[in-house]
Amino acid sequence: MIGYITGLRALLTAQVGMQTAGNNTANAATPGYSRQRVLLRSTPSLEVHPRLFVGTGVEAASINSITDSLLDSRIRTQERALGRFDMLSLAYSEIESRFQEPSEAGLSTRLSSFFSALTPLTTSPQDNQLRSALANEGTTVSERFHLLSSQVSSFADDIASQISGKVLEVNRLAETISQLNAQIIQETARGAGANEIKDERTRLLKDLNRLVDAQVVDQSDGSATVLVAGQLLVSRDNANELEFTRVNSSEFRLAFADTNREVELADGEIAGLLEISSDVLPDVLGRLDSLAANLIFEFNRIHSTGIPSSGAFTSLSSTYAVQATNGNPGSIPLAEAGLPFPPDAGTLRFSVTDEATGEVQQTSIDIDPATDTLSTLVDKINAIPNLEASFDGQGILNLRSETGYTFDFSNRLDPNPDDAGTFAGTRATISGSLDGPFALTNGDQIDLVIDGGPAQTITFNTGDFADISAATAQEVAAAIQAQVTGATASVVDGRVVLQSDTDGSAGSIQAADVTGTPLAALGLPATADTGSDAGLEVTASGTYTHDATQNFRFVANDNGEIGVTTGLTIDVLDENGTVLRTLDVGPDYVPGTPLDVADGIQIAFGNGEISADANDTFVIHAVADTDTGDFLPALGLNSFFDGSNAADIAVVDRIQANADLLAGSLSGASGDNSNFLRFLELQDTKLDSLANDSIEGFYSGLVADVGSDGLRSLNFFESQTVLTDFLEQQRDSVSGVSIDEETVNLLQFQRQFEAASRYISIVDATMQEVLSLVR
Amino acid sequence: MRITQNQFFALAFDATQRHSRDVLLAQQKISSGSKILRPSDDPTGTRRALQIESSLARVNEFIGNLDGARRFLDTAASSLTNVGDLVSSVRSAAIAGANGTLTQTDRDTFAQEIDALLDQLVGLANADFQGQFLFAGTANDSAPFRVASNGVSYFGNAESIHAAIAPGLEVVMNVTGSEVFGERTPLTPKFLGRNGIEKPVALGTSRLDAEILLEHVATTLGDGALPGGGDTASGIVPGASSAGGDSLLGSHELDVTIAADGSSGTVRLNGGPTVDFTTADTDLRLEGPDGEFLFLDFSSVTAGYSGSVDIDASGTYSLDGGTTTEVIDFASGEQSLTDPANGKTIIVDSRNVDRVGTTEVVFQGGLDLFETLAAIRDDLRNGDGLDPTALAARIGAHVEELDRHLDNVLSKISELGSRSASLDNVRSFLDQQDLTLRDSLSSVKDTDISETIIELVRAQTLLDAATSVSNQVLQNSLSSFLG
Repeated sequence: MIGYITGLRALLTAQVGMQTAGNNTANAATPGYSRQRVLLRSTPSLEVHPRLFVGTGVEAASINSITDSLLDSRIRTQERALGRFDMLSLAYSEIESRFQEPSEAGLSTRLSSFFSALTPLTTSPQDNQLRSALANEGTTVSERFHLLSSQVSSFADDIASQISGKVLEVNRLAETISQLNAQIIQETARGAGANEIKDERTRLLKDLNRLVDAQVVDQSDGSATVLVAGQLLVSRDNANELEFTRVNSSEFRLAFADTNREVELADGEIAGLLEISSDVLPDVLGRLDSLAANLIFEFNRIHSTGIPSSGAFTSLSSTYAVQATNGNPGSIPLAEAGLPFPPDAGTLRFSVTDEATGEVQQTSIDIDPATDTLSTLVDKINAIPNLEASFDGQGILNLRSETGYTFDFSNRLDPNPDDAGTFAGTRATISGSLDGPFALTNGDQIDLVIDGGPAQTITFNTGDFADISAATAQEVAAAIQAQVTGATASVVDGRVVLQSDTDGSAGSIQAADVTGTPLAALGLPATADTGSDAGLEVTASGTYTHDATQNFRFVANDNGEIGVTTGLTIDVLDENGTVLRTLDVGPDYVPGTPLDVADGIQIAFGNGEISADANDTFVIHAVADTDTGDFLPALGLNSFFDGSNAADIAVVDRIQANADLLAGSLSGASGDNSNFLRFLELQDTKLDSLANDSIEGFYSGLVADVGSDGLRSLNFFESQTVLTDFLEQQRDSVSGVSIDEETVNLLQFQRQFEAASRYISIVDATMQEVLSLVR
Repeated sequence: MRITQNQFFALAFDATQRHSRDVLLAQQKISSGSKILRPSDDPTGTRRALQIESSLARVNEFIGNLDGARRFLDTAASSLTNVGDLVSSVRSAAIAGANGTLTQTDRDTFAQEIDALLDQLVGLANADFQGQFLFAGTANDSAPFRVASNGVSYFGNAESIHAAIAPGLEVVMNVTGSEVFGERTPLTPKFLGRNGIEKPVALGTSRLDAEILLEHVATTLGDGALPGGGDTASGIVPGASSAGGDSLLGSHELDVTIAADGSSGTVRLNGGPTVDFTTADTDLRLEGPDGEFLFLDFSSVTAGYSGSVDIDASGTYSLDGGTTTEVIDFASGEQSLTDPANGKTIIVDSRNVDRVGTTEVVFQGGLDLFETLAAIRDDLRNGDGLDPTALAARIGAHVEELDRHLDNVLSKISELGSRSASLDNVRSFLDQQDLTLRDSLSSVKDTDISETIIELVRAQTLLDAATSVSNQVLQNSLSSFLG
């Protein structure tokens, strides 16, 4: 009878085998499925006779999944890195697609066309169409900045919502894994293998690792403990939750729901997304903002000192308001006033022009943003003749000139550098030949004879000077002015200049030592000077081109008449007294002809007489930068761009409305293109604030960096993919279903089944034989 | 190693994916013509491409600028060529008008012609290029030359307009109106007249043309001791018409021979023709070799006298036609005459002054082009009623002035021409740079079509191979061979 049992066992085992092979074949394409193998075991033999054991056949001991847990763990590790680089490379490709480079639509082309729109203006500065074109190009550049900025910002929003989606997925996966854990614990306790459930869990753990770096620890009860950043996410049948909150546009918080402890992720898709939104996007946006800010500031810096083709200003308002936390904009030092481009300490020079006479009054004011407020600034400006300043409650500074006057901030030369007539005007003048300080002695006296009147004795007392042995020209002039009548004492370029108040040849002035030798100390001549009925006109022209501020001093070398006296020359000296040039104004000179001085400055002398005896002198103050503290761009006075970053850059309304206000001139002449030429230079200027790069260079650097970072993460992603593919192949090699193999298995079990059936029939035939004997 | 079906599928999928992507990429590169479709395709290439594109835009800006400057220069040059032609026409008209045989009506015709040319000249001087006045300096939004009652005035300025034509290279686009039309050179007055006034070493302050009127005051003969300034030795006395009537000034000489009876004699002036006289000649007009003359009274001559008598004729200068006079200082080489109208002085050398009349002082180099034309026009109208010789001399002086302006205009034309030529050099340099940049941009950015087509073909072949191999391999399954 044992044969029946053996045969039956073989049949059953073959069926289990065929079933398993069939199941494997059926799941050949199921993701995460591990092939199963029937473990066959021969059943215990029977002792049919003493010491004679007969085998009793076969049984299916168990059905095992063929897995390699080490390989699974390695796949999970790779999956995290894959997830992170996948997100990074996707994001970079998204960002670079927003830049639309290299193409006509990119910002690079817009910046080029903006600068290109400037170029024709240098040859046709007053062409209105070209001016409008520049304003329009400025607006187009601004809009392109806005678009990029808003696209990058909205991309950050996309990423944030992606992150919260992925966090939800993590929580769902954790929940499912905990449920699977529960089932596995149960099954394991029952002694069952729970192969499919474990396969499912392995698959989910892999998915989880794609999102976060989750460490998996297998427990003896069959459950898997999942740790994220060292904290429990899943433990047996308990699942924790992650919570995601967006603090602000670039700050995020990921924490465990129960402990509220923050999670620092190193890998996985969520880590990649967080990296994008907290590092990559803010960096790109920051560099865009810095580019826009530099364009605004540098452009405004040049623009603010220019003069529009419509002429100098009669009124101006600032575009950047002083922010007053206490509601009083006048009380806040400018450094703390929330200005987008805070000014430095420096001087600002105003040129106020009398439109009727063309006379220019140039006044510099010192501004220290650490102490100066809008109200002290307004006081300083109001001290300038014919100019008024005020500010309103919004913190806007308003400048206005009196009727008949205009103002500007250009570095143009005063066309009439000798307006006091100290060189050879109509009034009698004597000048010191030396710069201060002067070594006077207490009680020094001089006599001044003005217009042939009685001698007026001037006494220099210690009290009038801070240090009488080192008296400044200002102190000396003030001391003389206080004691003399009919004459004016002033200072020209550090020299004391005395001038009769009477016009024409009726005026005369002569000085003489009374006590001590103050004349020698001051360098004043003892000879008399007589006024002239026709004063000498001195006219400066040209545009100062040097990059440092200089004073050019002109002194007569001989007595004589311009254009008449043989050998008459005028020396041009620099601040150190070095002769830069000697101008020939003898018979070969036609009065009124401009002569080159230096650095773009020209000077013309009219008809008249000059005197070396009277130390005739005057000075041209050539200012390189009229706004050393960058005060105008800080407040947005006469600016081209408004705004402070990529999101709000714009061409100021007044220029959009009226392109005449484009300040391309430095002299005020409408055909003057000097300021446009300075704009052109900006295109090539390497700016410290842009990492020593030009505006266009900085932008192309940004694009190239985004590209190369994108390329790097794409390369990482690809090499990671290769690695993961390799591991998957290995896993497939171990756990995957080979249909051929299963077919062979099937055939084998089929043959076994056939053979067992035959065996049973033989056993049965044998039994029949035996039974027939009985009958 | 176990091989499973999934591995075949994965491999087939992977291979077709990869090769399809290569095919797609090659297709994109060929159809777009650019091998950099996005920055990550070639970050350094992108950066270079952007930089080259920006340099290229810059070079083209400069080319545009240069062309603009060049058109400006060329327009100015062609205007100046017209000015040169116009000045030549004025010159021919002036020389034709100076011909002594012409009638005043003929000269008026020439004057009219020059007047018309003057109007044309103002038009040329106010030429513009696209609304920018060419000869106005930087104040070029309005016409620089305006006609007023006292002539043509310049309202432009002396500023140069610079155009940036290459990195760090600027060129001056303009010549100013004052340079072209208002050229004045150091002034040397020219004295036109036959009165013996000469140009002194020193010059006065006047820059204006003037007429010096020389008038006779009184003549003294010999020692001048006789009443009326007569000579004691010879007894000759200046005639009744002498004071203010003699034409000679300064020192001259009489040769006298008186008959022994004292009733008659012969006399001659400055070695001129010998004239007979009798004591009845109380107001004899005696003429010298050059037409100079004086009046003499021979009524009480010394009988038998023979010898020479010195003549010393005093006179005055006047700059305002005789209203204000200054005594001629015959010893002075630098006598200063003051124009009462403006206080300006003219310094003259009086040492050779010998006769009355008018000397015109022309300040060479003192007239601008417009003033010169106006002066020639006025000369031809001959308002002063000068004789043909004096008129020709005056016109001649102004034609010299005109020639000076013509030279100046021609030199400005050649200056503009050489600037234009140097622009050509820069232009060809920029063109070269443009070409080089385009070339490098193309090598950085443009698809190398042949290379990419080879890539495409290769990718396609691989894709074909991969799919056909997959097709074969994936069909191979043991089950296919089992009945």
